[in-house]
Amino acid sequence: MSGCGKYSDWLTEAGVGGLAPHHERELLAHAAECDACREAYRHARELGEIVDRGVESLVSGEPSPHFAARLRARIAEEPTSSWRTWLGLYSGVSASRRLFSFQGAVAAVGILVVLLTLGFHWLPPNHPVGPTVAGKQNEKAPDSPRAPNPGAPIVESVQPVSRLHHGARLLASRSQPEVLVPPGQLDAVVQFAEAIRSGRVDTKQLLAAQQEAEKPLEIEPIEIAPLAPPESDVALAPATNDGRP
Amino acid sequence: MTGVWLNGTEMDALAASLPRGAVTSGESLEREFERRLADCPTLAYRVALGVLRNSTEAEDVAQDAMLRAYRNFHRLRDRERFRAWLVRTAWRLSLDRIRAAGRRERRELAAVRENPEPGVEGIAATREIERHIAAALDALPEKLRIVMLLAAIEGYNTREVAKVLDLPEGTVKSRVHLARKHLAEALRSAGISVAHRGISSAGE
Repeated sequence: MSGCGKYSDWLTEAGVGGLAPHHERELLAHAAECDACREAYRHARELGEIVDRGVESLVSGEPSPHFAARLRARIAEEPTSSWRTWLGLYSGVSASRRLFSFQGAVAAVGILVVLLTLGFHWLPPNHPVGPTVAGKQNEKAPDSPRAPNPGAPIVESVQPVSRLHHGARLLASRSQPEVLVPPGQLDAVVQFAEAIRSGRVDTKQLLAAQQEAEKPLEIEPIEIAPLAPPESDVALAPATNDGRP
Repeated sequence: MTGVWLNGTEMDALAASLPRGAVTSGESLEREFERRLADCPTLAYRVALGVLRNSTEAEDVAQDAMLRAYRNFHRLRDRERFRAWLVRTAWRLSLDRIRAAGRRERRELAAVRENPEPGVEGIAATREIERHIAAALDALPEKLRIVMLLAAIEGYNTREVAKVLDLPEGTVKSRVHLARKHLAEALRSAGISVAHRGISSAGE
């Protein structure tokens, strides 16, 4: 077993498959002539297999068949997750949470209305209005800019951004609407935008519903037929005239 | 009011900038989570089992990991990211458990009770090998141990492990090799060698 010292150092590496190919060839060539090294090599390889099988046995197995059911039961006990409930509209949301979401939405709309209203009243009398609507606005009500035409849409009657509270910008135009996203609801707004874009929400139907609500009441004029003079007056009139000198 | 103003164009741009499928409804998320529930618990369970070596505790850890995944699922939509997160969470939870007082002794006792092997004559020696391997694994540095355990999970090759752990494949290979070498040396120094090969095979 002369010159075996070098190869014994390689045996562990060879056992776990880490020996360089040219070293492995050299080791095998030596093992072919050396019984002790051949046996040691075989032992090393088998030890490597034992390690692999041993570790594999530690991580083999499946969770019990009830795993998923148990997990679902635990999930059901969880407070509703945020991703299940944007605005609390999905089924399975607790009533209190839905109410909370509804209240939040109402509050957000209320704040928006207040901001828009304040925006109206803060406009200076001679403040320039938007380029497209300014002319019409001034022509219609030059003396009362604080009292916009009630029939005109809000978005078209107020333009300046800097005058509004905390950067609350009014809508620039109907073709490019702006929305105020309350804190924490950006996901919901983006989802809504994507729903519109992907066609999951019928925008025509949505707009039609909105326009229907905004449509001014149409009151048909009452046609009043002119009163016909009573027959007795007609009969008397000529007589009176005739009696005059 | 500290909201964010977005006009239509900005919203479109924001939605377009998000990864495809990043914005969907809660129902869609539920469906996706159900799909994860179909294929990921086994991974979490096996990782936990590799550390705890007790099926009951491993299942508890896998449950906890999946529950945490559920809570954070809106951030874990990507499948690979989900699996990586799950593996790390299961790993950490398992270590936390094992560090708790008294866990180690209970685990060792349970290991003896579990998985009765066919063939009475091989049981004792097989258990001896498993105990030695388990002890050698425990002695490995964490970064070698997790790589070794994941690589031993069925269906996980070097590339998969690299993805899950967000490591270069070369790093995974070298760590697996180093871990195997440590384990082999530990077994050899413990006197486990070819004499046990037949016994080890008996458990297959």
